Amino acid sequence: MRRVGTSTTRRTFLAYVASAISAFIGIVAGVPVLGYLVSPLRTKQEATWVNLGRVRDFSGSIPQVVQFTLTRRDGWVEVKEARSCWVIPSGGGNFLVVNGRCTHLGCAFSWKTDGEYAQKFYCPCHDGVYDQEGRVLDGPPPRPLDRLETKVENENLFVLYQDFQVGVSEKTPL
Amino acid sequence: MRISHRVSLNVSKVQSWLDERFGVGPVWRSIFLRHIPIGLNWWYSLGSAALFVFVIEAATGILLAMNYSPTPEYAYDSVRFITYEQPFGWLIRGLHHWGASAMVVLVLLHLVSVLVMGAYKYPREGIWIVGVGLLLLTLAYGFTGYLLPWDQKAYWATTVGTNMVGTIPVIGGDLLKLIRGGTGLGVVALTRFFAVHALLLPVLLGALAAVHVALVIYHGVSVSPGLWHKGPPDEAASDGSALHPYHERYAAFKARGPSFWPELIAEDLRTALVVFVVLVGLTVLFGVPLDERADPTDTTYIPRPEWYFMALFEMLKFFPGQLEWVGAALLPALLVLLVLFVPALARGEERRPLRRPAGMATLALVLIALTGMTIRAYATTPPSAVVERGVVLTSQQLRGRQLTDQQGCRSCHIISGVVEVTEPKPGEREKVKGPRLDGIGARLTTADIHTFMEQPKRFNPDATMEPVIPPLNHADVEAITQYLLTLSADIPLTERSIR
Repeated sequence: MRRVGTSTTRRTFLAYVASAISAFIGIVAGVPVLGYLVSPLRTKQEATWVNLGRVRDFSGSIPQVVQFTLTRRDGWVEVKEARSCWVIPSGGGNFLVVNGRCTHLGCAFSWKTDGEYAQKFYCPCHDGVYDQEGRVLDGPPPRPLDRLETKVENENLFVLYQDFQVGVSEKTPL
Repeated sequence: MRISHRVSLNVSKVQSWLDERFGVGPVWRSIFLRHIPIGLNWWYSLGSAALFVFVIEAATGILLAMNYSPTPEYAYDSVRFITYEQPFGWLIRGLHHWGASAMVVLVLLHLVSVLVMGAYKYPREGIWIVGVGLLLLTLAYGFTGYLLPWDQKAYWATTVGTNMVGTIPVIGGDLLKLIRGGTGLGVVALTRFFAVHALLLPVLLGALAAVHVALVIYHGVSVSPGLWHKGPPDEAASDGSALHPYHERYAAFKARGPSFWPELIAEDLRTALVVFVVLVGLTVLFGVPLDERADPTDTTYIPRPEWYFMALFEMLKFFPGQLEWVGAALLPALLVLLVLFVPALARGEERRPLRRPAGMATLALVLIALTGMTIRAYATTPPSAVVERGVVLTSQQLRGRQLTDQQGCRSCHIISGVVEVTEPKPGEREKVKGPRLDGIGARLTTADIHTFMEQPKRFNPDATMEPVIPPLNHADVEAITQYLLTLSADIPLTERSIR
């Protein structure tokens, strides 16, 4: 029975106790659970120098795709991941190297030698089209192809390989 | 006489024991023998058909999980094993695959039917809201399950699908990492998708479905709109004690109706049988697709999502550049909100579709837009067949082409005109080059090409090539053989640098 003049009865007190115990267990268990779940936010992909081969192998005039494997730590394993980039001759023995993923949603694009998109980079996912410099000509890509830093050492072409967040206009490293 | 009397006594004893301990009788009477309003037909069994397919998905899913390995190294092989080697594996996986599509179809039909009949109106708004949750969970099932076979379609559709999340302003990048469990689609992402698909979603969907069904039992099945507005057959059946005029009217409809068991359950099972036969039929007729193994560097693959995401996929072509997120996230979110708030937006008591022109027009518009987008997506999809120099490759030849890449055949042979330019590592001898394989069909018989790969030394005692079995099997060798036969000797040479 409720006592007149007091705001806390035995029943409301017990309701507080029950809520407090639940909240305590919830918070103590919830913080680690949340931390466990959001831990991927801290992952970062390291840029690595990749040897693409001898400079003279890229003497042609059309873009060439180079495939290579990167060793990366993914969770609990070291994985070899297949990646690619396009080496585009830009005249005077210079090269432009771009990441092999379309900046729209990350599909693999390719250099077309014939057909509707001849002499252009074309991505078959949503019809993204780029010119030889990687500039967007048509379709939904939000930014040009991602250029990668290059260097030449001992007649070999090296590229600082890095993946970027796709679908956004800023070139943000993953 | 005495004996039968004793038996019947024991039966009623057992019954009352069960009733008292498990409440069998009361539960049976209140759930299975409850009255259903008059005028129901098979159209009312769409929801139960969706539940039936969910049970099929759960059962086949458990069986698949017994042989599935959620890692990029083994996922594809385990699915291939299930499909082609495990007895009845093709059927189990086929039912699971086609069942996923069937579930989306049934859930959508159920939703449209409830919309048209105005069955979401008072007092069933809660059932509607929970139902929208079930629809979203069904789509989440489709999305997470898609990656698991780790074939080309799985890998690329998920690459695009998850990257769409990344386009959301401000939080997109973090959201993308949370979904993938990191930056890329690899070991962590696959395990994560598997955990969500096989552990989290069943619990969520099971719980929501239980609430959904419990609420249907609590509120009763809605009366068809025409009958409802014509009024109950016998007004006198109500005693005027209900709190809301609705309940009085509904009670009158129920009083004359059949019971859940066996009348409605028989209707439900008839629909379930049709669905089951269709699923088995689809599996037998069309089999269950398995693409080539996922290849993150393949520049020729044209990824397309499952049909129920095609409309969304197509919409992305209309939002260039920075507005990507509008098509990828904002519009779908607005559509979900619109559906969720239907009971709040359409509050009239009128349930007959023809007298709700605004609602029906909106529904028609959305359906036409989604269908149009889907058709457009399929119409503009380039043929998935890969054409190599005028030859359309079969799936077997495609598999062969992929194997020649994966097995490093090109490090010794020229295949399809591609000369791999590699630099020997310091201290490594330049590799002995094998013959060019283009045009081999003119030099060797099909059987000889096949057998050579299995036992090179039998043909040429000096061959430096190792037998390819293991790691490959006979089907793989035949695939490579069939691919090699498509190559002619006059293919021009191109160089490819490999590191």
